[in-house]
Amino acid sequence: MPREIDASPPPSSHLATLARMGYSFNAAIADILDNSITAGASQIDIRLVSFGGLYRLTILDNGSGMTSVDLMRNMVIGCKDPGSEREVNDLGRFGAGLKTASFSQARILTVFSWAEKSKIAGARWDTDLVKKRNKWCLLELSDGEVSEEMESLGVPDAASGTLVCWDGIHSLEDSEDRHASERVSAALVSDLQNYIALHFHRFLSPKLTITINGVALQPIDPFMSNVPGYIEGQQEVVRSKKGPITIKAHNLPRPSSLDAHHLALHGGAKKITEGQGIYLYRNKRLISGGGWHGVAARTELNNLARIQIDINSRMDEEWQTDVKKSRLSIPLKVKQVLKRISPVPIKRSRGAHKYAGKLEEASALWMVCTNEREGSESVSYIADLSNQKIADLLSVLESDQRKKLIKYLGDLSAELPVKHIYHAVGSNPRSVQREEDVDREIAALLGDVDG
Amino acid sequence: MDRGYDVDEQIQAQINLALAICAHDGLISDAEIASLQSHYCDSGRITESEMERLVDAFFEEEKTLEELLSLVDDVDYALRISEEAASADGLDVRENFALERCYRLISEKLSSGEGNAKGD
Repeated sequence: MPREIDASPPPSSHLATLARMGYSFNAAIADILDNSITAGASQIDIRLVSFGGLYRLTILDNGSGMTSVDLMRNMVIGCKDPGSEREVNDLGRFGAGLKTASFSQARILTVFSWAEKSKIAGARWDTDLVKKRNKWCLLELSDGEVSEEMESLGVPDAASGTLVCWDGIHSLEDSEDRHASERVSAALVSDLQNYIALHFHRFLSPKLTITINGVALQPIDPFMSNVPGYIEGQQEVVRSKKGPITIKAHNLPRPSSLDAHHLALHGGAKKITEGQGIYLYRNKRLISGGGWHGVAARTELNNLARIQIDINSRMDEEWQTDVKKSRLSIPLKVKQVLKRISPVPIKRSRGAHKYAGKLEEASALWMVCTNEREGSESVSYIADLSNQKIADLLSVLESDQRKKLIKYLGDLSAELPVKHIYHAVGSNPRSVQREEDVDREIAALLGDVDG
Repeated sequence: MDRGYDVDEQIQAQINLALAICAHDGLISDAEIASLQSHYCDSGRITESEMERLVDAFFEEEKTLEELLSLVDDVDYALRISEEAASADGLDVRENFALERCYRLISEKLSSGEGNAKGD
């Protein structure tokens, strides 16, 4: 009979493994927000503050909170069976998110929580202590320690809630000096604002406010569905025993038609192009945004096409959600629906580009020539010599001068700085001034001629 | 089979069998339902809302493929409709497996002399 041996992993190395699960700073915080939303919070305040060069991140919510017993149970790693069925609206999954997300970013995780009519409970994981003792030693804070800490944190009175604190944040502790830490913390907060505003955009409403260092976040809708020029596409539903999967196509307005506010909100034309593709939502929370997952190719012409997929948390097994909830695997049948649905928004996206091209074609001075040869397509831009102004000019010139002018216009067309224009329009369309600057230059040249 | 609405039992049995084959990969797409609608709703045998209710009720169904097959009288017709529906968005290997299993069950019944109790 085989001998049974205890092969439990040593806590110190197990902890190091958990801390390297690949969470980004933003994804780790998003995982904690999932818990707050599942707890029914209407207000979540995130703060990153420094005390004499030491940084502390706090996430405070007014959700249902936990009693002391519940808190201690939930602080255990893997406290829930991933195979057990979750409530349809539960954003959690493995019962490991809070701990693994926190260990990936900070050395110390402290959680304070209070359910209605119960006292505030506090518990702490100190990873240095776990490593030192090589033991899963969870610390339960005494009433006095809880009062002292809550007083120093200045937590407002709420009937119930949870406060998550990270101390010893790796990305800020690794910085060379205080100024570097400040730069890193400012960048972290800025990135986090965009990430949360996008990934939780369907929750940010009068019913839920999320603030970061006191600033309330405005939702970033990746489909721009309230912006003029948006086109709502086809919707299909795939049914399963665990609920419906809704698939919907969207087309964004052209970046050149966006005002400065919307363009900046969505990170500029380049970000809009990068964001083309499939948006997967689990219980309305964005899990994965952009990329075609093998359904179509990522090209400049497809940049306005988006497809939204909505699933619920009971489908985790089929969609192979990982602990970070940052990746999903699309079932084959859904991919088939995507392949059927995606050509329409893609065609519209391409159409929007061609429409923009036709406007150029309609300009009085330029012709757009599209050459199609065996599937390859090339476009050239040629000064329109049939234009009346040029025709009038040519008619009064000597033959030699006429040839020189035509040659010059030909060279002008051939040397059109397409790449430069493409880059300038792509990165910041509003910066490309056409008429005003040209008029000013022409007026100056005419002044020189007259003078 | 009391569902609180009035749809011919044989139509219900045929649709349930088709849905069971289509759902063998866990999912039923709009294209598959549209295929079933073209057979049953376009001819006026059932309405679209009755079809919706049948689909919803199907997910509460606990019967096996064998049990669903045994409730159908005209198995040839039901399997043809099922194959068409399952192929509406490409026949998945698992859907094909379910179809093959149905055909095998029928041939086993025929060779054992049982025949199709209701249809033959």
